[in-house]
Amino acid sequence: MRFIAQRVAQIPIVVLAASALIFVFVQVLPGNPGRNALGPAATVEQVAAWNVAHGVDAGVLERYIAWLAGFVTGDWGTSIVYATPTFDLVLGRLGNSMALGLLAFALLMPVAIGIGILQALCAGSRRDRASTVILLALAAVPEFVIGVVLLIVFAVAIPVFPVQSGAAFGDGAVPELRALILPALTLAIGSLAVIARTTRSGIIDVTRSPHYRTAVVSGLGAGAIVRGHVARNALIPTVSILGVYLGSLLVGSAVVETLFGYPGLGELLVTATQRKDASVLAAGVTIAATVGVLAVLLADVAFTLIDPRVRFRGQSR
Amino acid sequence: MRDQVSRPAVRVTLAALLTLAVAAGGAACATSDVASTEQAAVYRMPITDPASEIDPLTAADQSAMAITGLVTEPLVSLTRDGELMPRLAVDWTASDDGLVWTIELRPDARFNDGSPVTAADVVSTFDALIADDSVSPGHGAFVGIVESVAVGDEDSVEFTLSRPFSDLPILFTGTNTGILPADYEVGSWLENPIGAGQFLLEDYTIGVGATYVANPDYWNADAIELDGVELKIYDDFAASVLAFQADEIDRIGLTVESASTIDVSQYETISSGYNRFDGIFLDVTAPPFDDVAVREALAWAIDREALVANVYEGNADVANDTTFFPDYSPQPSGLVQREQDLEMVAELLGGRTPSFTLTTANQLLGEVLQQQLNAVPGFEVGLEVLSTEQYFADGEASPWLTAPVTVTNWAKRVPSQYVSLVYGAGAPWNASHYANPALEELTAQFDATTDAVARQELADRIAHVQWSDVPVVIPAYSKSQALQNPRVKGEFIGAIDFYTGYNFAGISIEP
Repeated sequence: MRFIAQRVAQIPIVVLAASALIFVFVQVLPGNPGRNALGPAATVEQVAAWNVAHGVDAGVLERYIAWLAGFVTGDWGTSIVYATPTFDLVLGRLGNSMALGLLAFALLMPVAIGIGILQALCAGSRRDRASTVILLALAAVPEFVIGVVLLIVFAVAIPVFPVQSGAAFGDGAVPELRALILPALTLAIGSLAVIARTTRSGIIDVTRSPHYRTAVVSGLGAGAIVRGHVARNALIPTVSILGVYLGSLLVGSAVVETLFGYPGLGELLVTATQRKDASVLAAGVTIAATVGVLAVLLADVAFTLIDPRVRFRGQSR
Repeated sequence: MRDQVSRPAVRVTLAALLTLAVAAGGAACATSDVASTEQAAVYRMPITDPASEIDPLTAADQSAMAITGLVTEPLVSLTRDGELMPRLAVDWTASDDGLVWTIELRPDARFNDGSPVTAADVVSTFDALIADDSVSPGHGAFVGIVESVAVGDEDSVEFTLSRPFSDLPILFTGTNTGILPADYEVGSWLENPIGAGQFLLEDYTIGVGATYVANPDYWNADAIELDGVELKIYDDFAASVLAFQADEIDRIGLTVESASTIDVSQYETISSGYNRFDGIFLDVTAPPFDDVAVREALAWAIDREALVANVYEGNADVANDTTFFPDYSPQPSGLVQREQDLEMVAELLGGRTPSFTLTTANQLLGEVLQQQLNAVPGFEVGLEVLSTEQYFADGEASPWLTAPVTVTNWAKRVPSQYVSLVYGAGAPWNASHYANPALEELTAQFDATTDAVARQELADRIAHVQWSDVPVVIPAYSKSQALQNPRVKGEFIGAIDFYTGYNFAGISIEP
């Protein structure tokens, strides 16, 4: 419990640091919000007037403190690009990204763990080596390429999924689910290799350990060995890495969301960065950091439940 | 042996079955949404996420202008041949001294809330546009020209000018000139998408797109055969190309990237009128371009035909370093068309070797120009390619206005506007730091007269100064091309990229 409490206590510090960093970083990016909004033909006076009207001419520290005070009270400001409340914009996009990320995670987890188990069971065989090569090849292919290939096959050659996923919003559950499948598959394929390999390694490590051999020679049944000695220990590294992947999947992939025209948080943050939309960028990154840290916390909780050594170490301190 | 042969076959079969399963799953989920959109005669266009506010008065990028422009109506627009076309204005006349223009309004035009379009609405719109504190990108077109706007009689508006300007009606075809109600508040458009245009905004979803239905109260509603228009946001060009191939959208810009993946022969290729030029701005106040002979040498060193072929993909016309687009009347006469002439270059350089760096945000054009010039004996040319943000950065040291040689894209305007924006002593975007009182005087005379003979003579003289002094090398006037789904019938009356107003009259969708 102490271990978890420490992690919980770290969350606001991490989130605060992330928000401050992004607020500073956005100042050093090239470009001017007023210039971005009005275009190159606007005069310097017009750009300056626009910046004053939108409150982006004050100092960084002054604006950050004002933003932070608003953020904790639910007033996240207004997007200077979309002229809409940042609160609604960011949380709406987060919801979209979480829906996509959860579907990707639901597709990814059983398949990746299943492949890892199968590989471990035939470790060293030609099948294991072949599947390792395929997985590593998939891991080496950028998400963008995987997405484009899926679109060429399933949106152009066999037109059963839309290219632009966002267009299905509001059309009902079935069209929306259909629109999510290709981006979710793209996200899942991108993470497949690492999780499968981690699962495989975990199982192989356990089956080569003394306690596993002791369990086998002591005559325990296969089911008892898998439940009591293999699964719990072998999944420790997998659970740890799943937490990280869950966090990144839930806050969206800028590449995948941009390619599929999916209005998620990742795509929003790219736009906010390009246009120097500071309130959106700061709120979006802060929320993304929060979700990411919570996902890791979730993994830590699972970690302590699976691995009693973590609980023991926590108590001994 | 049999086992070895059959395993790959089994794997291939399994892979095929998996593919079919995914496809079948999608097909099973597929509803009639796609079919219904197609049946509803909706023209579907790709846009990118708007980069500016979505307000008719302040929209600064093409996407924001498209979202608002389908709903609003200008006074005048241009046909694809460059002819003026009445919209909310039905007639326009200038006073004898050219200082007062009277614009007669269409009496039967209404906003989409049912209220009539009045002279007060036009006055209010232009007051907002020309106000000193206006942040509208369209503001610059009227600076130094329109002094005030007032209601004439019931159906007319009077524009009082600070100097005679014979091309005033063309300025009404520019950006941000859609007429809005007199009580319109800037920034409120998305809450109440008001306008007197061809379509009604049905829905706009940030990051996804906008849908429109035909406006039944449009003054020329009978000419609008479409049920609606849909704008779909694709921030990745590859995705929009795939969407075009998948029949999700009806048009895609014809570029090297799209042409390399699309079977162009399956689609109709449509072309806009002239819409821009890329000017090479030479700093005439510093070596080596303070010497007009060096500027001329550079102008004669460029292979313009090759630029048209390799940079503009054939969709441009060779230009001759003047600001008279080919569809503008009058056209200057009496100038020798510049083309690559290495003997002329050698003679003008007289053994000198000008060394300079091209600064631009247009990588392709910059690279081709660099290669061309470095292949000409006498030139040593470097290249600095900047991002758009870097190139157009604010401040006194903005590269596009201070670098010795810059290559900048300019949208189409009337010829004299470029003098006040680019060539004049006080011009705000005079990247060449050039000034010639004679040119400004000729342009003022050109703007002031409507006499065809006098305008032709003045056009010849203006063009001759631009050609002789050559502060800006203009190698080509370019157009845009797009591929269009053959289900679309009819020809767009105006430019296909709508830079002078949105007009879907005569466009229909084949059932």
